Amino acid sequence: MNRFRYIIKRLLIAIPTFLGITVLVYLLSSLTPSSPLEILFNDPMATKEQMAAMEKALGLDQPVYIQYLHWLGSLLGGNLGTSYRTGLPVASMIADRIGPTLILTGTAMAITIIISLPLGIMAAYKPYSGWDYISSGTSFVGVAMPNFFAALVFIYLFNVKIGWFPSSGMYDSSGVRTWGMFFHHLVLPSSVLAIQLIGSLIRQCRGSMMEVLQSDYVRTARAKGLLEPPVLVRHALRNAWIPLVSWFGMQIPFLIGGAVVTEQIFGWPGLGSLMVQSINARDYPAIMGITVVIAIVVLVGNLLVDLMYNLLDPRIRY
Amino acid sequence: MKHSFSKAAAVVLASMFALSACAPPSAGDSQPTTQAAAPETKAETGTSAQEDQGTAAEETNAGGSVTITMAMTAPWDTFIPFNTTNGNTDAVLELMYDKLIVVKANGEHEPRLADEWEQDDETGKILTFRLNENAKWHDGEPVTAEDVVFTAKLMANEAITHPRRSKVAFFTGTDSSGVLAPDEEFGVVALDEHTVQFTLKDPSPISYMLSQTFRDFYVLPAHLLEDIPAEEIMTSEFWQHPVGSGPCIYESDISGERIEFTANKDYYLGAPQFDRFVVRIVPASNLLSGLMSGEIDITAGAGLGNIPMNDWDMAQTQENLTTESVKSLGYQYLSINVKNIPKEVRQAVNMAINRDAIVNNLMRGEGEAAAGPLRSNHPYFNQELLPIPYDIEKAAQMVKDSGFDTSKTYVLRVSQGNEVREKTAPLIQQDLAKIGINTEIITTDHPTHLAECRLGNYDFALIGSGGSPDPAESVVNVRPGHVNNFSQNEDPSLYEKGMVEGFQVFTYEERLPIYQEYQMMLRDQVPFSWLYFQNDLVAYNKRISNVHFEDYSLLNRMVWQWEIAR
Amino acid sequence: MTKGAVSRDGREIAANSYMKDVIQRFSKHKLAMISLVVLVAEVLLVILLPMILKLDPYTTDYDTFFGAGPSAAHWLGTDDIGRDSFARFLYGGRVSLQVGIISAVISLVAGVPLGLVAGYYRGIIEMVIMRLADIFMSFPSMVLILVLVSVLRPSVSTVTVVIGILGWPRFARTIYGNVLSARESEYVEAARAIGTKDGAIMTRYILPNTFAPVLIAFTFRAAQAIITESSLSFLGMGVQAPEASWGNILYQAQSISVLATRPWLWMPPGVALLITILCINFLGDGIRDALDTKMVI
Repeated sequence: MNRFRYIIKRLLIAIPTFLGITVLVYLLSSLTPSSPLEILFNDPMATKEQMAAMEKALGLDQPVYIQYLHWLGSLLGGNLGTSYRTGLPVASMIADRIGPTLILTGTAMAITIIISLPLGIMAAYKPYSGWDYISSGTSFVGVAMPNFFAALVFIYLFNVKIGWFPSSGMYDSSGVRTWGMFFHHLVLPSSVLAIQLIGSLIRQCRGSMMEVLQSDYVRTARAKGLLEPPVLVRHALRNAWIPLVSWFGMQIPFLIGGAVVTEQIFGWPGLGSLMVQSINARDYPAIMGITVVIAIVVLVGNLLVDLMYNLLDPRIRY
Repeated sequence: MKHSFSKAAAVVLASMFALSACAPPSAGDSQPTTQAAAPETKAETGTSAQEDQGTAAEETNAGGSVTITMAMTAPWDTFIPFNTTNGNTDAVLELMYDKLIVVKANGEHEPRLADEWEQDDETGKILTFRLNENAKWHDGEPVTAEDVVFTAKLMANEAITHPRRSKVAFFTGTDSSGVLAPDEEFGVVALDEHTVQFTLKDPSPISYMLSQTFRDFYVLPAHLLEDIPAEEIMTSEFWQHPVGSGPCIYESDISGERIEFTANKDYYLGAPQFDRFVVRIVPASNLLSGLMSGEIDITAGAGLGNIPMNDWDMAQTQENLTTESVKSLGYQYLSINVKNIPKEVRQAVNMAINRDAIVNNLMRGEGEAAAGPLRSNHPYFNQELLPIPYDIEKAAQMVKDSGFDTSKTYVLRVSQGNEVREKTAPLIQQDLAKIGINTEIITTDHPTHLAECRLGNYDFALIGSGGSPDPAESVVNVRPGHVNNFSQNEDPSLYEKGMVEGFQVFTYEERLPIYQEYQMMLRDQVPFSWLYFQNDLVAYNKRISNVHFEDYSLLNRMVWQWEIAR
Repeated sequence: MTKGAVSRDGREIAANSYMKDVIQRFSKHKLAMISLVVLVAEVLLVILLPMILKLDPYTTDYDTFFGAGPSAAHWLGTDDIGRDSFARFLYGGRVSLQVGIISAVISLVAGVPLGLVAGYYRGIIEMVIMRLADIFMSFPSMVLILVLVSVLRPSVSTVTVVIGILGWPRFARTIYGNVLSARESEYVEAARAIGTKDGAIMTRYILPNTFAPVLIAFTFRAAQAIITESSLSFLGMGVQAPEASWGNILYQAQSISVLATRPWLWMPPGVALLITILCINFLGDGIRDALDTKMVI
């Protein structure tokens, strides 16, 4: 019952947050100098009347708040509008791009978890040992490496020098599209993304595990003579889940829309690169549409993360 | 703990099984994929090409078909030919659709959908085109004059708002912005099945019309579109799987990443030698590595897919590539706001820019200094413009003598997107400083740049243009009242010379003296200080030949003529 | 975890001996000490070296070939338009460090008061501020920054301010958490009982107890800001010509030839970025250990 009320309460609060995000982004986009007309009218033969006609047709001649309300109105009707740049429905453009992004960031996350959890846990279990140095070292380098730098280095090493992996795109050009090929193209970009995530997660893991391992009840359990692995595994991990879950929650915005630089460098057709293109073309409907999708994913994601807290630790009440 | 770890592992494995049952992600229309032994061989040939540099990495699959991959650095917008003015989109459109003619860099025109064309002698307002009788749509229907008329009418239809309407504004029966005038007869008619006639509002040399207007006039199939009400055409499903008459037939696409075509083996100008054609979007930094590994076969050229300056040396050493430094028609210039900068100072600026450093040092000689909008090998070029004046002391003196306010800091605008142009900004800033003009560089993205320049919110701005074989190409940019009158010029003399006087006569001999004078007037008035022509640095796999890169900026790659060694 | 005017259990601890303790613990942390030295050296180098050697990152040297390799005149060669790469590297360091530190300061100055007020007064103020923080944090910052930067023209100051403003939620949340627990403590209640004004309670009693997490958040925020600025400049949306920053120098390296054949152009800024951020992170860790807080950020 409580949980249900909690969910309702969170959803209600999410609404103004969501609206706030849309207002913020709409306002900012409308403040950008110039308008989509400049892009559309690259034609040297264009006349001012044509531009005026286009402006009217796109509704750009009206004050910003009216345009926003129009947009909001159609949003509530389930319509994300039509892109100025492509003329396609924004919803279908986003649908095309969201898959690649989620797979890219999802794979990066999977790689991160697989590498970081063991390293972080071992480091906490045996602090200041060889394990700890390796994992702390990895963590620090991971956090410090700007991902475009890592991308350049990876491309140079693995594509140019060794030639194991392709440097751009999702498939090769033979017309055949298989999962194997797809994952082959996925390796470099997701590894690059994973680097920073790994750095951050190892540190998180190590820190929260250490805290737990030094707590009274764990020391008591050890003192009682229980075997190490069960101690480690049963008592400590269970309590270290929460910071990990909250770490994961903090990565959600990044996962849905933050891989912009990586997508640009590797030519990966995801949501981030669509956002950059739309910003450059002042394609307001697309900018707003992507914003809506990102905002919803983040808000829902945060809600789910908070619910997981409750599942993992019944002591947390609402 | 083991329990939750194994739970998690189970979930991961289960989802992997589930995923493997579905097809890999791709968007848009997609044919079912062919599997067989292809994937394994693909992986090897596609990527172990570093050892393979002597021989081209063949993109063949089990069927032995030939695939050509062309790389561009930015994606296309749409498949609706008149709903865009973006060069990347044009590169794709001209594969699927046909234009009436093809413009070559040397100013000549060759047949495409039209075999013959002529302009009437008395009024100079009637252009007649005879269409190739073998032309067919991808669905087998013949292409007729009705299709041409339909396309033009569609573009003039008031219910559709699109940025290429200016094309049809030239023809009678439309108002000044190109919308169909209700009580007049439309100036595009089909005289018979294969003859179309265009009636112009004002006389204009056919070579200008062909080079500027018909250059990107793509013909659409009336029989597939005419039943759709005009208001719904833009959102019609036709565009998700377009049918054209061009050398490539649309097969599928992944939004923002690639488009895949099959060759139109019935193409009326000759079947292409490839079986499949793929256009891929590749970041500029990966172009060379893609070429080296065989992932891509040819760059798109024409500024849409050029080898970056820094990679040029390495590109030229690759054994599997042919490289070309193509003399393109496109130029870059410094637009000067005539309202803020008086004529003597503008002339001084023109004299103070070190074009040699830009061309020979920054561009490593892959380009040419510009004396005006026409390159020195252009048939209309005025030799008297050479040598380009360069005299720092004289320029500094002119600035001083003119009483120009040198204590102010002026604005030099540049936009992002062209690496060489961005790099010239600090060089020009230094050149201007040497004659006493201090500037601040403002870099913005392209739309902002265009908007501010159109409004005149600048003193100096770096802008580029595609150029043309027709000498009147630059006139619109100095025409008072025109959208792209960046220099805020109010003197109509340039326009009168270039587009009024120059349009009364139609032969080369008659036009030559007019445009020679036009160029001298430009040198005197300096609304723009022309900087350089940048060569297109392109590279392609050695197995391809007979590619004419010089024509690419004129939107034709004539892919059916490419020769591909097996 | 106590410092400042009033400690948690009510005793006023002499600031001096506490500081001595902290410094002693800090100096035990070898990596942090080394990092501190490296960072200080870096700052001194980028400020002083160009002045001493009279380096000019803006002027083209027309006598050399653009893009030349290292030589006596140009220790790291020249860039694509003939400017001294070594000078640009050092000046770039100034810009990158400046953006990093100043934007972290902006985030702090914006975030701390907001978090303080939200945690202390609670109620509607808390809701509004925390929801605002949610809004800012929910959004992929790169996207917001790109939009903002195209609204205001890209430049060093724009980038600094934008990154700074977007960083406030981190500080606000950190403080908020601390304030929540601090305000329930007995001494705060006691202070309220004797009629101490809100403002005084916040600044004298609560704020000093948040010093540790704020300082740590500051170091990590600075590191993050440096990375963000370099990513922005790398995308071409950050620091613009003719200014140099480590990010926009790396922008040039987007070519295999440069990567493979001209390492003197990209290695210095790349490695410098790596080292700087590493050191800031070690420093933060060291401070955290020294202040003996269990906070994991």
